[in-house]
Amino acid sequence: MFTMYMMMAPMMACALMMLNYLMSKSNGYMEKDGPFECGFTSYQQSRSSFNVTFMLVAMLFLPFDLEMSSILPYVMSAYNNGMYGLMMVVTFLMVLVMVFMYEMRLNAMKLDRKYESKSKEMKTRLYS
Amino acid sequence: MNDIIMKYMCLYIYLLFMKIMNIMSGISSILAMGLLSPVQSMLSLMILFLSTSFCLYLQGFELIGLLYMLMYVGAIAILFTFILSLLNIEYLPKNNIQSTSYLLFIFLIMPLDLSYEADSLIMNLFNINNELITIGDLLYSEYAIIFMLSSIILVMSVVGAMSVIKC
Repeated sequence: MFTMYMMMAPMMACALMMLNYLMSKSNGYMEKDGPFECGFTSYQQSRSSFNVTFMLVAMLFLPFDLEMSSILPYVMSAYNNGMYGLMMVVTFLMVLVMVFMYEMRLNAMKLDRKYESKSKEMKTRLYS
Repeated sequence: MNDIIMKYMCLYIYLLFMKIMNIMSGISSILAMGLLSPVQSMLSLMILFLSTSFCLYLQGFELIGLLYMLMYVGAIAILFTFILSLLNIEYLPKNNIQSTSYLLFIFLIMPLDLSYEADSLIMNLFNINNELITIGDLLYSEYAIIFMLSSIILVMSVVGAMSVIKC
């Protein structure tokens, strides 16, 4: 029954799309068919610089997602591993919690972070 | 009679699908290495992840197939796409030969098959119904050192990200 559904659903979708393609009128001109860029004409890729925090969100998602998937087999086999397995998982999580605290302490995800050289700060403090 | 026809069609579609996914993963892996433009290479990399995940799932390794989809496509491919949007690379072909031909020539003389049997690399072939439980039994008790090593690798990746953005 599920197999029938899996075969009929794409067939239905394709049939409806073909019906639309065969029965519709189309008046296409350049403004209608081209990409929409808030009214401006775009002939090349227009890139601008963005805050590094947005890139960091995607970059830091990866290690924490992998940490989650490493914890995943434990929830099914917690009874078989006993106290030793629990200690292993707690050690793993403590290591990653320390890394997370390090990242939070550095204020890495602030949007208005200014880059100040720490050695310059120390030099002015020495002389004044 | 209808049941037999349905079963035959299911098996046929299943085999067809698996063979298509196998062939597609092989072709897309060669294309991912051989294509010049990074955007096209990225697209074939995503096709490779998807087809490999399908192959693994259809062969019975459900957990690792779904984990491939989750990890590779959900995290790594997204990351590569974001980084690709930042780079301004334009690769132009040198001379008249395309770089894919060099790669295919190297593949011709490289021995990629290890034996003539189908299951030459597999040592034990048990019927495993609970992959997750088996992995959990081993990862946290017998191979716990590998688990700790993976935690250190993840720590290094976060520290590396911090050092790249000059924090």
